[in-house]
Amino acid sequence: MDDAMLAELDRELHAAARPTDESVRRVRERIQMRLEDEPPQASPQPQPQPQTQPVLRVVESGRRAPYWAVTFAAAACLIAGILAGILGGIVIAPRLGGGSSGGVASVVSLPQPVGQSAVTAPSQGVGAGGGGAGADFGGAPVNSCAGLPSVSVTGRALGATGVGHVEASPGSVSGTLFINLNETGPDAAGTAAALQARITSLQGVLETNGVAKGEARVSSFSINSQQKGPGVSAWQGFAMVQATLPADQMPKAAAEAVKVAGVSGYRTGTIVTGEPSHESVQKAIAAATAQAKDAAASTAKAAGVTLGPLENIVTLPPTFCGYGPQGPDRIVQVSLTYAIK
Amino acid sequence: MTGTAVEAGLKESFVELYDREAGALLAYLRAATGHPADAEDLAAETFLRAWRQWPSFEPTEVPPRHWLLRIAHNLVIDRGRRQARLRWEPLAESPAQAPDTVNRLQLLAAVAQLPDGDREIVALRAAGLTFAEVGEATGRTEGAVKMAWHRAAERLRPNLER
Repeated sequence: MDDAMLAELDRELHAAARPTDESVRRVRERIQMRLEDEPPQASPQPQPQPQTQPVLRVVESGRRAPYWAVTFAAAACLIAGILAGILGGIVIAPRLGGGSSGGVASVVSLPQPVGQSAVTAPSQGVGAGGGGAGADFGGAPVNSCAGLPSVSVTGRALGATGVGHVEASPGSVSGTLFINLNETGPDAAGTAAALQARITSLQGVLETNGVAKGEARVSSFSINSQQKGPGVSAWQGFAMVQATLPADQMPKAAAEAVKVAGVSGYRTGTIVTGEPSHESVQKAIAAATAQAKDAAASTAKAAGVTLGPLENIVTLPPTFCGYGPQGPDRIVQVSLTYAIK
Repeated sequence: MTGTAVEAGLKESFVELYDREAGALLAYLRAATGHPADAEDLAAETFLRAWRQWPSFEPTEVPPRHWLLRIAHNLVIDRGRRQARLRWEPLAESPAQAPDTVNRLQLLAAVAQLPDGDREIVALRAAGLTFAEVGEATGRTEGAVKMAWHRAAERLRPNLER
């Protein structure tokens, strides 16, 4: 068989096997219907943090801490534990030895609220490189979205990192609402007509609840027969209506939508947002700074040390830290480094 | 990230996967089964199986297309076993179709009659894989794939000379 014949076979084969757009669309609709009903397995659901047991973590670096340092660290840990207890603390994670000054470092993290998702802090948002005092607070864990402060003591410097939530500007957050509609009837045409009527009714409700005219669109529509023995026992219609609207209007729109006859469920989709406003960032920085100051002062007091002058301030720009009920969460972090007198 | 947001993200990425790979997968299944309607059924089943595994799928370990084709291949084998137990009656009348369409459907039917190994190679070619990729997907050398391709072409030659 010559090359020309092989090339022709390749061409003909591709032409024969290429599915029509209609075929791709039909399969897509079938799958989409099932995706609504069937969650994926092993879905990586966020795990709530254990709340009942304190965690004590001791990390050894390359250089072993001397006995007196361990004793001192144990005492610091005890103080930190009392402080954490007073503040409702749960997690105490002291770190021993290995600092640039060869001193003792302890880290106190306040607890996450129950059910708070464990969001990994963005790497650039963890702690701060407090260069002014020659201190290194790079390992301070901050549960970003939880908005909790952290305090580190290294040698003769104390670093505190506060977290401020950046509020979304009104109107900058929008979401997509997906609404499922079902209809059952004795014949295909009647079922389709009834389903269409329900769609129209739903679109009307959405348009009076924050969805712009024409923005509530039908993304899926199908009519399927239900087989019973050799014949068709009924026809089942399914449709999905998709609408984009401001996030703050989403709960009301969803609540009204589910009252429409035939609506069998809804879900909210990807939420997009613009850049936060300058004012909301400034407000978050002020809150983060105040939190860091408070955390530094209370830790110093509990540890029986006196804070010296403020030597370094590091402010990190707003970072995304996960999704909350109202959409994406952004935080700013402010790290203050004080000398210890 | 909340569970709902995670699931929404998964769905979105999965629908993107569908839009990217459905054409190739359907082409593979049409060639492997020789039957467009069965291909749609198996494509839907393939994507549903893939959806169940989607959260744990690692695209760095295997390209998504190869992963989907592997699932589809297993379904084609299962279908072959099921069909061996069934007897098919041809319809008395088929709807009128253009000659080109008829020829192409006959070509697909002829592909479906090839021995399993050769058919797999032809079907993967129909899905747009290069000979090297077909070799990777089937665990053969590129040379062996080309030989099988030539062998299959000889068998399919009558369908081209019409």
